[in-house]
Amino acid sequence: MELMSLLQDLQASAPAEWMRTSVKAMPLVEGTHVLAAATVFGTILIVDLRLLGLRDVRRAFTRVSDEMLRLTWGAFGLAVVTGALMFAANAGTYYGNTAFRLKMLALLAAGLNMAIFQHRTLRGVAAWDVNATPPRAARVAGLLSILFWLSVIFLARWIGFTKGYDFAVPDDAEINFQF
Amino acid sequence: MNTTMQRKLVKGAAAAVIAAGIAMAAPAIAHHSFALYNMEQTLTFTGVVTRVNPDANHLQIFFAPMNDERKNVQRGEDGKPLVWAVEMTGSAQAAADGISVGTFPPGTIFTVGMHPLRSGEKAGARVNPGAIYKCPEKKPPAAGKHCDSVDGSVTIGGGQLPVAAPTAR
Amino acid sequence: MMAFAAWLHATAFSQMIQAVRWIIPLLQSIHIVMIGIVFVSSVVIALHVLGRVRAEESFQAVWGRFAPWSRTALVVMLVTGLLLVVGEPAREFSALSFWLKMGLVAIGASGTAAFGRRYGAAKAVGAARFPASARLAAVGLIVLWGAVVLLGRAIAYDVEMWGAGVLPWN
Repeated sequence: MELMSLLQDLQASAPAEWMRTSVKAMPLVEGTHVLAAATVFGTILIVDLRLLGLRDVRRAFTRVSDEMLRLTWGAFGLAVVTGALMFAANAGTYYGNTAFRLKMLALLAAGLNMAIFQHRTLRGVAAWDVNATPPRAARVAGLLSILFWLSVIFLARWIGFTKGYDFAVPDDAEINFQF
Repeated sequence: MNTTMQRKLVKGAAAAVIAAGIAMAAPAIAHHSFALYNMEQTLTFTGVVTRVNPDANHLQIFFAPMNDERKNVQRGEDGKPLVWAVEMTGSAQAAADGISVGTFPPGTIFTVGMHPLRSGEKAGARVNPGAIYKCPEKKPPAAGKHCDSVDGSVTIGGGQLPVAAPTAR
Repeated sequence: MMAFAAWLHATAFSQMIQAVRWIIPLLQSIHIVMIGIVFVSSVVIALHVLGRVRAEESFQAVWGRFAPWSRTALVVMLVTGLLLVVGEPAREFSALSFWLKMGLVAIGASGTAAFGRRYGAAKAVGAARFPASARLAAVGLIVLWGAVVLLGRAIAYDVEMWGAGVLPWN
């Protein structure tokens, strides 16, 4: 299958090899991934709380979001790079892992929620930018965003507890001893 | 018995208690927690490597445990080898300790202690600290023995093999 | 130290945390979310001190918005952290990263509180309200909380980071 050979190539790549053979690579890359993810969540939470009309209600929504989303995107970029390195190191295992797939779905959901908000609700922002309580669609987007990102973080942690085992014996493994 | 000697004995006893405590709760080195494993239970296996998965988070050695006579690997009713897995540090640290795809090729006979999974799956976390012994090529130990008893065996981690212990609760 | 860990490990409460499959990942997830709130709060406060965000607000207003969140998140972080220690005492106590992290958390918490005491009532708005020392301290707190996150993850990789047996009780 095309995808499988792609995963194998990825796993055989130089960065993946570096992740597997350099002793401090995994702790540093994974630590940076957690820091980046925590920053993504923390900054988005500030924007979401404003959307929900719970905090910063005296500041315009666009003011809050413009200040925070630059940080969010920077941190998200870092999370993608470090996440890609971790994925490459054990591509086959991650690909087959249910928690990993669900995490990707949760990420997709968070992205879709954001895209819909951007292209529909945010178009009319001039009408509600300074309102303490944004319209219903904006509040729903804010709440969904918090839920999706919480799911991403829990599912990410769940991957490490559910990686599983491939017990299949390779054809070329000579174990049929008769001593 | 003089007092100095008594004091030494007491110190020795205290050290033994602490050592026992460490042995009991000693962390196998793993990145996710040990919640998955039953740390109260230790299994010791002598088996034949089928595959090494150099996972960057946890290197896994898959192996077929040998029968008690050490004449062949254990097989299920279907005649296929029973395969277990032992997990440890990430591939880089394991390689630094001498465990890699290259040093544990299929067919390698070795002995390892592990804390088995709570789930009942045939896998566990390497007992660490605790020695792993590699038998010389195609030289299994005598019946009921482990690789540490074979002349020319190589150790990883050094010291004694972890002693198999049933659930202590 | 490890004898204490063994005792704690054997308590019924610890056994319960270990035995239920989802407890530890759930505690870790909450722990990560909370450090996210603490870390980002320190980032916003520092950026404000540097004049980069919320320039139209006073420090008092910014502090009033973020300090309570940071404080509450820190408490939840300590509670979930404590439960993680009870669940897996040997893993934590044997890790140099754990002790370094505890030291940095203590410095970070008291440093943040001291910063609030010093400037928390500042009502002025406008540029150049903070001396260089305050700017440096604010940025230092970001670095410190960032290091807390990295060390937190490094607990799981203690041998990789620092080598085996670096603590006297290991």
